Amino acid sequence: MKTVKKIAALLLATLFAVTLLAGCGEKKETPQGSGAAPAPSAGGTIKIGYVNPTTGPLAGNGEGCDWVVKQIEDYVNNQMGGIEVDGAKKNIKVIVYDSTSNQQTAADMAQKLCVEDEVDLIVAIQTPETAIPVEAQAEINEVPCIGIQAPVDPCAFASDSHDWTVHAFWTIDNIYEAHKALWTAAGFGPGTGAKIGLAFANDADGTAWHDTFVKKLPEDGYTVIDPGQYPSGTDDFSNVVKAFKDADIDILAGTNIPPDFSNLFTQMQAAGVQVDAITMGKCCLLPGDVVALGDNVEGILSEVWWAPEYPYVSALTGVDCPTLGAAYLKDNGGVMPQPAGYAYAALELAVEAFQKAGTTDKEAVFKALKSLDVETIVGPIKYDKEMNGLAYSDTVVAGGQWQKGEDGQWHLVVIDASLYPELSGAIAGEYKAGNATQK
Amino acid sequence: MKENTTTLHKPVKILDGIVMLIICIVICVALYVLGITKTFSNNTMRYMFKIFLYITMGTMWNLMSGFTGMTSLGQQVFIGIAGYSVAVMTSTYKMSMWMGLLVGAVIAVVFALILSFVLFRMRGMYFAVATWLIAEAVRLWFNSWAFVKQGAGMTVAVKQIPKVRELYIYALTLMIIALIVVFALLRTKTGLGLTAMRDDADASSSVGVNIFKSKLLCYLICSVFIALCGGLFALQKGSVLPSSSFGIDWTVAMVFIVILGGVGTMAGPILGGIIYVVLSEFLAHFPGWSNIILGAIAILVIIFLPDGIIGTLQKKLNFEIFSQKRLSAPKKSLKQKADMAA
Repeated sequence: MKTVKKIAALLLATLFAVTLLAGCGEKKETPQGSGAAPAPSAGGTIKIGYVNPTTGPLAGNGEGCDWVVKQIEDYVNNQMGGIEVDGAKKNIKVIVYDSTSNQQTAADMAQKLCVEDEVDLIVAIQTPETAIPVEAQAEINEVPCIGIQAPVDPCAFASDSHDWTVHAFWTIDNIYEAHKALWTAAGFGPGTGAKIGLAFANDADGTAWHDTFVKKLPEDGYTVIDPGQYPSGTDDFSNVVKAFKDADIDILAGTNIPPDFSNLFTQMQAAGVQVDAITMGKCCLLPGDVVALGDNVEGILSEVWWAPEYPYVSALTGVDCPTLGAAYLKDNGGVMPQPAGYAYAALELAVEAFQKAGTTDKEAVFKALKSLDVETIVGPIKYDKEMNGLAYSDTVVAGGQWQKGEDGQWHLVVIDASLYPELSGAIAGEYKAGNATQK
Repeated sequence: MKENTTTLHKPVKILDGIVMLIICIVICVALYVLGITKTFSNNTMRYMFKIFLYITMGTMWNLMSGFTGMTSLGQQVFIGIAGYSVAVMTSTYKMSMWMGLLVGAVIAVVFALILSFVLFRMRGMYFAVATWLIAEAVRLWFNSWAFVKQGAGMTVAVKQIPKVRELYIYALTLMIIALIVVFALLRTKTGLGLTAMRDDADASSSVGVNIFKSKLLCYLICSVFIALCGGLFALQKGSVLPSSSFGIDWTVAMVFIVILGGVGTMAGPILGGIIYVVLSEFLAHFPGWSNIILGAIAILVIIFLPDGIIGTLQKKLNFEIFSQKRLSAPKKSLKQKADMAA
């Protein structure tokens, strides 16, 4: 009898636990892989998922995310009174998770957004390290995805399926041209035979840049010094530095995460390697990222894909770049980072897609998203190009240089806009040799 | 349920009789039924999928460290190998995910077999450090291997990725098999040899335990199951990268699960796995704090509950779930022994 009671009690406990687990979520079939049709959001809000590198080596790229989310949420929910979808006005809610700058965590968080939070749309942003895993999860879970602020090429070739993703940023071909314009500004135009040392990690971003640079540089009459790609996170650059020293390079070109460039640059200086120009992507975009370089940041060249001086006006909010930049400066005490401009644009595009679709039905939202033709804070977006099946829109890029301002602070000053002349109004200076770029 | 009467101290109740068997069968059947009949939502199954795999990995790490005394810090090497096998087979060779899982498991076994000749010459700290170094070396190799796209990583062919319900069933099956294998192994003569080896390798060897053979069996079992977990995780995440697939975070999670649940207990990794997954999902809402909180919990558990939650409960309440101990003498004879002693 005692045993029977124990069995009964344990079975009841088991049943209770199982019932609890069963109640953990709705009985809704969200697809993983193929099969079930995506269902519209059932709740009273439109949910937008956002995976942001809030912490870790890419944290600089994630700076300003919370502020931007608040701006768009406030505008849509308070000023617009929501978005009209499925016959009712609905507020938006942007759910942000931290990728910790780790691809595996980015995939986990994206899946959490798709399956647990059941977002209606997801944003894949802030470098290929975050965008690629998020875009992969969007494809697996069949959620419309706005890919942005990660070069098009690595994102396009990372997957064999782009049925739910559109992308907006520059291509590697364009960024090569932007860097070439900067070398020209520094006195090393095409045909000069300048020796360009390449510093690329072997991650998705670095590989895409490396392959294009290695192909195009000789075509433009440059001499390529390629010591080979290295794993991201490397702290010993002895072989790279030696190759640069032996070749006596004129220009250092690459794209790296901040710790990699900081290590490489420090070791180059320790070895006495001096160059005439440095063009470096990704890690030299924000004051916070270059602070470790101290005064040696002076003269470093980098791409500028967004600045408060740009001439664009958001079709959604009516805010222009200077106004947005001033608001950010007022609230945060610093210049609005380039990635924050793209974060704003991503959420603009999300809202535009829901407005155009008039529903949260995922297929309709993606169709509306793909057919957008709007001006955002980062310029016009129209997904009319395709790479490896990925529909994408080119975005603008100019050239900048780190120079000391009258306020004594370091600023990334726009010095070249030859690729997109519409940005010439943002030019605030010209090339100057600095501490980092004098042999 | 029966009482272990081999000690004259308070008798320890060993919960592994017919009642426990029935409960386990009921739970397993219920989990299958609730999954197949779509009673569980996709979200619940996403949690359960992770819980099942972390329980499997925790159980395997516990088998190595808790029961056998081989503390490895490099089990992530099998996760990475299997993850890449799935990506290569589905993306590069356009084969099925089953082929990817099979190839991953076979490569893991062969790799474990090769490693065993080097690793089993070491013990304790040296073994732990060597496993970690090997995992790091493999990570660096994959980071520079053009065939697997170096540091750019690879994606699993999207068309090959199963639905979350299917992944749930595969993970559940894998966990059940893993638990049965470990339980059965520990109840055999080899299992007793493993624990004897953990307590004193030289002494166990002198009484006939084949150290190399026992270690090898244990290591191979762990490599296969952890590789299968890695393969399923790759299918779930859709992409593999050297830094994350071979990251030590995987082993840190296994250690956390076992420490939290209870080293050397069958039920410890089960409880630890559940807590770890629920906690890590919950902490995702606190960017930047999650790792700090997880670390603080691990430290607090080590200080205040060195035997883990299950281990401490077992000690306090004098019970053991699926204990390795077996009834060696009837109650009567013990009483007789006590009388004799008196």
